[in-house]
Amino acid sequence: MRLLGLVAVLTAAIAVSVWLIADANPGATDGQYMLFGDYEVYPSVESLAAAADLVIEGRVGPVVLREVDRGGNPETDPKTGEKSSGVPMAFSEVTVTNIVWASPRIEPLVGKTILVATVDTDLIVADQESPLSEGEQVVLFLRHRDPSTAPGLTPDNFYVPLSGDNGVFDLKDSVATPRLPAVENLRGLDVAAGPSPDSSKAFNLGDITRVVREVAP
Amino acid sequence: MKAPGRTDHAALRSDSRPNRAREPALGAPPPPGEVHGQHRTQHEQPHIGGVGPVDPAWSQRKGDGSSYRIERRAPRRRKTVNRELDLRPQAEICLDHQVGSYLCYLRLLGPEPDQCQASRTPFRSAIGDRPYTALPWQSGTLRVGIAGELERRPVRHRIVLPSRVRPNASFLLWSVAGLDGRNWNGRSHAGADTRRDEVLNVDGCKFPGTDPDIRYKFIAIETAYQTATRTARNYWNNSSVPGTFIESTTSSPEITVEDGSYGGDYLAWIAGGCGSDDLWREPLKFYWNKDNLDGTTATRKAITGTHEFGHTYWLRHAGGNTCNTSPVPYPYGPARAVMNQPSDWAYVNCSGSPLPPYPDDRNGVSVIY
Repeated sequence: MRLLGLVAVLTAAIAVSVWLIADANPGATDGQYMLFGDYEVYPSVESLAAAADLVIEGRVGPVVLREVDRGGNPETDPKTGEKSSGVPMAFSEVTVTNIVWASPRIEPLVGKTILVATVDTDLIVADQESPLSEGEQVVLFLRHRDPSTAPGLTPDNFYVPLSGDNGVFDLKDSVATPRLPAVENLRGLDVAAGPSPDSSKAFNLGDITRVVREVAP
Repeated sequence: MKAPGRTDHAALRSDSRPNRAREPALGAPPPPGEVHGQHRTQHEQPHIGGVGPVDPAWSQRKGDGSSYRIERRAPRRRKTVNRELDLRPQAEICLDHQVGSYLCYLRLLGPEPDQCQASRTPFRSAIGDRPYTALPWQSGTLRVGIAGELERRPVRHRIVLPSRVRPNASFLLWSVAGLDGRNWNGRSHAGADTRRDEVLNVDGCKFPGTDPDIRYKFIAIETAYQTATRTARNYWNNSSVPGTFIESTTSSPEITVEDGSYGGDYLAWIAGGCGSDDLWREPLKFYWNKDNLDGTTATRKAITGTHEFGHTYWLRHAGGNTCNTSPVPYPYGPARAVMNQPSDWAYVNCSGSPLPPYPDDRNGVSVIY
């Protein structure tokens, strides 16, 4: 682990340096780099469960890897010679304390750590992409990534929260609070439906587990 | 700034432009120490946190109904902390919306000489649920980021800075205003409350000028996404708002556009850096995420592109999907907008829906520029 940590630090330093040199144009920007996007919206636990590959309770560990994701593009476009940019990503270790639901193709994970990638918010401010901070207890609705779906990142197996913060719930005393306010119902798929009889700002973990196991594919 | 090749679509743009008469100079601060009177509402109870009393020499100003700025006599250095002085403010920022049904807190620590730190942990009240993220102090500039949607309702922002400061210390923290959940960053709906100068850059920036040429350049991008980019460009260029998106091969575009299979679970992203002048530091980067969009229709891709170009204008997410095309007055109900999420909701759900951008989107651009 210590070696892994050293590698992570070195990798992070290199990634950060490369990204800043390549993209930040030091001297021109006196502010923060920011990122805005268009996301799918999952307005309920049900809709998240239907889209997830893995739903877990977990404890966030340290960031162990940082990379710039160029989406599989070469650094330089062979046709135009233009330099491709990329998005800085941070990989956090997350210890799986309970699997709420897992796709059959996901290997058993309880007690293990998985890599969860988020935008590297030390480098870039991202709307709807808040960092996973070490020590946090979370419920995560995750999408699996591998080289076929994320060719610009080196880990063979990792996960990303569904639609950024949409797939992250902060967990405390068996109550999970969605980071994205759009998640206000246990059930329902319509983002414009508004609050339903079961709507809440936070959900009991037992209710989440029940709904996820009922509706997950 | 006219780019070569703009003739390919310049004709698509209407000559009829909205009235873009300049608004009053919103950024001009009052003389130091002046207090702008403002009636408190029942939702504006002062929120005190941190250490010690507020220095009575500080003035507390509520500019225009949405924000406080707290300052002591200081040179007007926006969003700047005078790090030469021994300031140890500890602050709580409190945001609530008009009806006060939630409160969110953020505790900021610092700055200390040469070392400023802001808590990255959201500080939440018992009924609060919105994560507010404090960003690192950078070069003496405080940035406060708001993670996630703030819904469609206006957000009020109060800052109280109980501080221990040396006599004659100088400290100026500009408050965040305009976090009203609308997509009109920097400026607000007529009669409303935002001062552009009080908007930190967390919500993005704009292009310079009142009617900018916005040149985009393709880098490593497939035909389908080139087409979607051009369609989105045409949607905006046909919409009679300020600004013209122009495809270009210039070496200094305002936006570079590329596609790829990115790991993050998003459809498309805009990334860029803001200057303290609230202008983009170019070029912006526009990423199409093929992994999430390859299976979608050309129209869906184009709508996503329209949403992303909206971000480049400095529109933020609007919040509140509805087929209602008429923006509602303060405190702003939902309206049909391509800046809502998902961006194609109106296209899919509203019968007879025209293509975006919608009035709410167009109004936003016109207000900003």
